[in-house]
Amino acid sequence: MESKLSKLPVKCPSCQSGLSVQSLACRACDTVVNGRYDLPVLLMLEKEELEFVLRFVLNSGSLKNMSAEMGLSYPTIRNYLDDIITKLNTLENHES
Amino acid sequence: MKAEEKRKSLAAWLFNPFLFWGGEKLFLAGVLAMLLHIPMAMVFNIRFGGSLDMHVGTQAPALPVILTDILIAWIIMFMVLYAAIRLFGKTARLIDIAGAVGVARIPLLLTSIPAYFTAPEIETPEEVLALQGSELGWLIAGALLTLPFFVWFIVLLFNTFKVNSNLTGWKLGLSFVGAVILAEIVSLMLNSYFIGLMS
Repeated sequence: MESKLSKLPVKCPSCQSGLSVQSLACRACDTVVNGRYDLPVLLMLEKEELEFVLRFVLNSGSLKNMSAEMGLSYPTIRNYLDDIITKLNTLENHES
Repeated sequence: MKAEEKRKSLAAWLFNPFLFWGGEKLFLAGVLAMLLHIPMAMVFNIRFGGSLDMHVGTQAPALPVILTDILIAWIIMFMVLYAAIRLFGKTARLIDIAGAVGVARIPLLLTSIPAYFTAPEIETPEEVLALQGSELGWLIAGALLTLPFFVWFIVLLFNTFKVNSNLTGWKLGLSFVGAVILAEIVSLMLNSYFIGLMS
């Protein structure tokens, strides 16, 4: 059950367009709010990309610390960050 | 991350260790690899004149010649690769590229061994045409033995450039080929100049 919740679909499986949120539910009292809410750009990233962003923030943006923590070289970490920045820019331009 | 999975494989260690190996440790390994050129050149009568070159001779080169060869070969290659990366507006650290270029030359160092044992005793390139029988056979065997190590060296150089530039597609291919050719030309010219000053 946990694994099903962790994967947030961001693209329509039928036409590949971006999905938006239509319904939000309160886990405590089961109240449901319906509407049409766009997903934040950060949530459109893949799970491992989001994990990378989280690590980046927790390391105060230090690529050197991340390199040591993840056991990868500095250029590899920087490349991964560059790829995420490019993806976020593309998503933002697509949104606007 | 995909790269984290890749690091476990032997292929990654052999052909692209730069995914997980960088900074000061890689630089020290690169310097060590460059220092290893000195005994290899002396023992196996090798000259490393040029960024991509390995020439076997009939006697060991003098120490100043070896030092000139390896310093030019190393510095010119990593400086040209760095310049090519900057040309495309990408950022890179010189320490990573310098270390990686030094480590990438290890397979080139290993070519010294088969080259030494198979090279015929000739003084000029023209004498190759006169080779016959077993001498020619050994020359061909030597070329076949050294070729995989040379390819390995180029693969490591390519991955040095790829990891440090984050370029892809035609930009990666074209700029790498251009940079390597430029490094070879510049290193040969400088080598010729400085060795000329010594004689």
